[in-house]
Amino acid sequence: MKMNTRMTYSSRSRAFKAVLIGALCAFLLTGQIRSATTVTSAVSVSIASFCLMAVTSSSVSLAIANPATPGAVPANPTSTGTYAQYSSTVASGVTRRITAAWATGNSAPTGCELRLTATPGSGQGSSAGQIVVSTTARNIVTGIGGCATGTGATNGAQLAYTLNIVTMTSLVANESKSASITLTMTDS
Amino acid sequence: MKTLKALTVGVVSGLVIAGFAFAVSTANQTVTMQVNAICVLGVTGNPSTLTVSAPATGGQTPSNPSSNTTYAQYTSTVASATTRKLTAAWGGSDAAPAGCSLKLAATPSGGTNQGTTAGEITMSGTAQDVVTTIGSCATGTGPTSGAQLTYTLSVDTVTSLVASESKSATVTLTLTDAA
Repeated sequence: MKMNTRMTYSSRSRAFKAVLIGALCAFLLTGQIRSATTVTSAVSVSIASFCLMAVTSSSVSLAIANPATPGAVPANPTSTGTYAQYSSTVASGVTRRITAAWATGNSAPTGCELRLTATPGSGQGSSAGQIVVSTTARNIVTGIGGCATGTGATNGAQLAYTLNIVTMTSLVANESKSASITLTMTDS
Repeated sequence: MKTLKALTVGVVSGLVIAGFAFAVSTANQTVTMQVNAICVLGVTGNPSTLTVSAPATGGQTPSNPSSNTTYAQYTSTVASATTRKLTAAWGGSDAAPAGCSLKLAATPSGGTNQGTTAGEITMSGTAQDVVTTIGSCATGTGPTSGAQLTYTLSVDTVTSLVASESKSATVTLTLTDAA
């Protein structure tokens, strides 16, 4: 009886260890895939999809300033100095997208609207064109498959923010607004 | 066999957990948007020479020559509840020919916030309003955009006119905050 009890305990312990080892292997395997630009599958298991995204800078500034010619409408200021960088793996036939929105309570200065265009590098998805930023999440990049944009200063989808003057006569001198834009990478 | 099953379960569980963990990713940026105070002014050129010449009929006072081919063009942004104005003056040593005075009227196009004419002024060394209540606006840059400037050389005292007298004066227009 004593021996049977020990044997059962020992068997369960081995199984438990095996589960732990298996789980550990899976996490290590996933970690390796994320840090690599190519995938070599030596294990006959399905590869889970993942997506990771960051931006190269958390702040952008836009100012409407004097026009070059008196009487002209000031130029729409643009910032193109930041990039969205992402790593993604997807199942066959599946793609991802990046959307942009701001929370309720955010707004552009009176008479203006904030526009955004994201231009990804080759093989990193397709630009969805210019959007007007609002509380509704709108696509800025679509068709993202398996890729890693890189992490250099100019790698990834270039983010072009433009403060567009809609109604010149509504501008208010010295008005300043600060808005938090949320970029979300998710399944299409 | 049991060990193999457990290993498989562990691998699949690990991958599924990892998959769920990275299904969505977000990043935030703070965009600061600023409208600077803008106050820029230009003119389309110099008015033509104003010449007092012979009247059509002998005995008449010569007519007052005028030029209205130039425009003041401006871009402005103002703070809430404030306006700007356009003033005109010439230097302390400038003067019209004897017996004459130089008059100026500026007529905005009527576009929103481009201001209201202050009527005709007689030019002097003291800045006088020619357009008031200018808000946030851009007059445009075309050859006839903006506030039309009408300069008139008024013959005030015909008996004081001096033949062949010629004067050149520099008129300064200023776009500034209304007091």
